Amino acid sequence: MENKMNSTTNTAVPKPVSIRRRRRAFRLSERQGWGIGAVLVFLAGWELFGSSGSVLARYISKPSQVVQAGAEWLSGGDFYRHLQISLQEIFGGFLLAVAAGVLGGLLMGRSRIIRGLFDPLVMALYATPLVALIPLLIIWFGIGVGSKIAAVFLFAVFPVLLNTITGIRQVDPLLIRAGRSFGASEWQLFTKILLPGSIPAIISGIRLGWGKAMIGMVIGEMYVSTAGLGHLISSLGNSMKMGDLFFVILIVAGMGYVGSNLLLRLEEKVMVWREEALGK
Amino acid sequence: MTHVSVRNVDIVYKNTEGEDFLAVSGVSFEIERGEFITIVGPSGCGKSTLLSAIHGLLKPARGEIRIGDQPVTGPSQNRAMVFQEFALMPWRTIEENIWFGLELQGKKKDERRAAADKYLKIIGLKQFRKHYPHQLSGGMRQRVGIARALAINPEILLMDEPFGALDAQTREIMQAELLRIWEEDRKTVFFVTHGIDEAIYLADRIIVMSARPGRIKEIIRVDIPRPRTLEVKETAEFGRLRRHLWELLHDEVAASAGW
Repeated sequence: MENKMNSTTNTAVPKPVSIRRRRRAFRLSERQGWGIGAVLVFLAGWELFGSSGSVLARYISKPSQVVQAGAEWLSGGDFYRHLQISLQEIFGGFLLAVAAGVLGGLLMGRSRIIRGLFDPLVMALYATPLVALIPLLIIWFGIGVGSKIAAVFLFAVFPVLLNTITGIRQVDPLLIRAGRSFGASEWQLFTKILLPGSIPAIISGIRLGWGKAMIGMVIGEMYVSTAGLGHLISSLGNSMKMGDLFFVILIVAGMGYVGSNLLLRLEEKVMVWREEALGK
Repeated sequence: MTHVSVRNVDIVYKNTEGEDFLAVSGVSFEIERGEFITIVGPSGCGKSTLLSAIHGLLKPARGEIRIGDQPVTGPSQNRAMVFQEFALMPWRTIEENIWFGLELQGKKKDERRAAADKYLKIIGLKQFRKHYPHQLSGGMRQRVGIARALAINPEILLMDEPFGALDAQTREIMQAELLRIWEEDRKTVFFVTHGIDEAIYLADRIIVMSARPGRIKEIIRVDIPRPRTLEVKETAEFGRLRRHLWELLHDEVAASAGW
């Protein structure tokens, strides 16, 4: 980043992080090479053991079987129905959680009165193992999509809410003073200083929330449901269809991974100004 | 013509324990339009507090502050502040920081851009307009802080130890730079510092404050002709003022440290 300072081009806004990333995509580092090697060795060992005819092999399936099961699922229509329902639940609940978490966090972060009002409730809920509330959600919202959206919401909302509160409260008071001194109204203070100043924290919260949302979805569906990936996991598990089970688990893991990776990218992008600004 | 008048002002301050204490006591002075005033005193003498009160961020407990014939009731766009720690928005580029005040006023994009052009040129950072503050050195950042203040075209520039966070050499360069910018339209300046050389070099008059509660100990006129280059610091007149100021402050610093 230092050498950017000497460059006198007036066009490029330096984005050190993304530049570094792009290079890495083309050339694997030694460390990454080792990591991939280890995965390959693991897969080979798994395949060998799965084919060995041992009694245990039945319980652990093998990669080729997982691939075969995956191909079957992907060519049938049923899988897409389950996937669609799960996506509906997770996006519905997650978007609600982000909206409520950011809005609530902004209010609680800014106003001591609102924080005082809701803090005990939030803390009590945050400390509760949320799984315990799933039966309640089913009674309230039925066994369909509604209760799963509620579960996703409940799991995802806290990281977003708490991070937003922290973000708002960590905005440098000096910047608020500077805003006031240039005549900012309360609303301008909000939109021009508090909100942009806490964006990095909010995005971290959203990223953490995505992981929790996945948990909420799977657990919600596993409890009582007629469709969805979590439902598949639990019914395939009960019937011991190991290859199929591993395939669905992989899909769920992939969704979590892709989602949080995309949000991580976004986070790094806004962190460009953040790292050094906080570094002093 | 009198621009700022401060009359019998007491300022009471709440410390972190919530107790009141008197920060500034019975302070009166006047600033002429276009005058460059520096104010010095031991730490805690209330000079920054006084600046906040002139700005309107803080209300005096007694007495009155007027700008022209208007009493100060709150921050206003005819006064602009330059902060010691720069206080630039780290998520805004340099040009966006410069037009921050104009944006708050709801000025259109081309007007903001024109102002940014003008002040980027004045502070000599044209090629950095799209950079972020953390990519600039401290001296450059404070030039942006000055540009941001000038961009709203205030009548009065309030500066709170603006060069206090810079190294000695950069500070000297910035002092000369500030005078160069100031000579262009000679706004009224109220400049808080604890640097003796800085106070003399910049000022038309220097207000010397006593230890807490801050009272005015003396107001010194600086009759060194302008425009001033950094060489004036070597002249006999400058040396005389430096000695005088040093003696005044020495007693106060000793008093505030409890010697």
